[in-house]
Amino acid sequence: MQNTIPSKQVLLKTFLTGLRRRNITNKGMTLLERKRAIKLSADLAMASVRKEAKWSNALMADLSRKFQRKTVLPSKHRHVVIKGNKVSTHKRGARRRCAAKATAIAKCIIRKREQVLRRLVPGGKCMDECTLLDETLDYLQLLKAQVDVMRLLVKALE
Amino acid sequence: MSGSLNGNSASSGGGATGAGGDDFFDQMLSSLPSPWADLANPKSPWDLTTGANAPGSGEDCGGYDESALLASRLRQHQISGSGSPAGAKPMMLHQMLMSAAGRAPGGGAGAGAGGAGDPSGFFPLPLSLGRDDVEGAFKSPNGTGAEGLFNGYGGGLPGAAQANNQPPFHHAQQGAPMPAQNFGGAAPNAGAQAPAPAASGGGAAAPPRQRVRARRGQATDPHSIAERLRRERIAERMKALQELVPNANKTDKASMLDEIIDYVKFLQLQVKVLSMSRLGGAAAVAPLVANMSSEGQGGSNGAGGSDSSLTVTEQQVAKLMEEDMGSAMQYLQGKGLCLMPISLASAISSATCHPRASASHLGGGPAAAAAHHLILPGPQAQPNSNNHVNPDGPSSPNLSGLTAQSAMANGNADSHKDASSA
Repeated sequence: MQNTIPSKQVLLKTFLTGLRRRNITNKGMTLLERKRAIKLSADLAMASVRKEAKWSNALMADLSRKFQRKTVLPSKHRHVVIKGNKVSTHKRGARRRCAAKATAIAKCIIRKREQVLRRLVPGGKCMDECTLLDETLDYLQLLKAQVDVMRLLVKALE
Repeated sequence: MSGSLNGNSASSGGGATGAGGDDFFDQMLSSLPSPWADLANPKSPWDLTTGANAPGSGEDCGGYDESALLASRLRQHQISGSGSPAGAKPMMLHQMLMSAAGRAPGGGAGAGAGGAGDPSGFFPLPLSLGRDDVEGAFKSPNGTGAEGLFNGYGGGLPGAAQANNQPPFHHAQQGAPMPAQNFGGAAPNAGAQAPAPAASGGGAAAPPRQRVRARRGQATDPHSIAERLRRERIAERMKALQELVPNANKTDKASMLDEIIDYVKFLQLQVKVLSMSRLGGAAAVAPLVANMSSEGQGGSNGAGGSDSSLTVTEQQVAKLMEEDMGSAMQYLQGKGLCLMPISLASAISSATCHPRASASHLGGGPAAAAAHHLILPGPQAQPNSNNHVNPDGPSSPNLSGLTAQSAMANGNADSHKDASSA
């Protein structure tokens, strides 16, 4: 179940290649544009290192849609209908009815947080709870590696 | 809370049972029928029993406390396995018996841990003991046993792996590993044999057995099994996440989710902030790093690599000069050097013609020395540069505007430029 820890060298290489391709050396870039380009490279590097993860595909699809106005990669999402989409109405009703039923409140809290997590992890909308946690784990590993790589770069350039 | 729990449990356990464990056992079992009977809506009788005993919360043993309920419910959704009371009922008895048969603290911990594994696996062990043995086991431990039993029981009541996780955690710190932990270890192994031994073990006609069997019957229902499997998988993942996320010593699913969310947000924010930093010069390093990692790429690398005295910065800027003036400027910008717009404009307009000349004017104060060195590899890396250096003499004052200390760099560069071209 656990994937290998992402190799930082591969990540770094992919990241830098992406930066070059984005022509980040172009002087005409404003800070915002540059930041977006860097972030794009970072996201792409992260996603390409872990190709088999769901969040990775979702991220690639999102990015390609954003920057190229068309989906380059086939979306591999499982289009699962998440019953949690109705959490808001259910929660309101639950809170009214279940004032004395602590279980429902606890479940509401957990469900609400789960929704937030779904929003954070790319592709989280279409995953069930189990997969969501799996993907979160993977995504966190990659994120941490990416941040370390970027920190190394900044340090090296000082 | 744990302290109060201990106090309450000890006092209430001792006071309620008086003599020992079997009265207590009876008391527990007598309180079971209501949740057992009402399986459709397990929660409300659960509430009542919890309210009546309130061992998990320890706040009010006899009262019906909403905050205690919420706390216990939240604890219900713990990482080692939350569950609907339907699934939790078999676990409840497990934990009870486990904690009784074993030592108190280990029993709670083992039951809590093992309960998350496969509760039905527990059944063969205590049930095969026979009621008398169980009672004997209840009786044999001393006051700590009764207390532990109470803890295990109290933990078991509201659901699987709830409050009993917390007092056993505290107990476990005090106590030694218990035989019940062996149960916990053995139980998941025995989990595979759950249905058959469970059925056989449930053959006894004693009322607790019947209840247990009913519970087991509930548990062996395919839906609950699937539910249980799903919960276990989720618990597994939560545990793995616990190791990854810092500061994640929470046992509660809700707070664990909170920590995870915070950590994801934090890392994403870090990526954003870092991308706004001086990573613009990273592209400058890109060819260098890519070349060095895949050895032997590009001829210019040879020249750069041969000069060990030169810093990476200078090599990189030299390479950048080949490609694009702008990249070198970006790189310099990343290094904290300031540029003068007018000279920059003219430099860029002449950049295509005189990219090499700018090498002579690199550097702020600290980099001025570097600029001197930079000229040397310039001719090596770019054999044509010699030809261009001289014609660029007149334009050099423009380019020298690149540096903060333009005069210094200019004077130095000019002298060295002449030296290199000669």
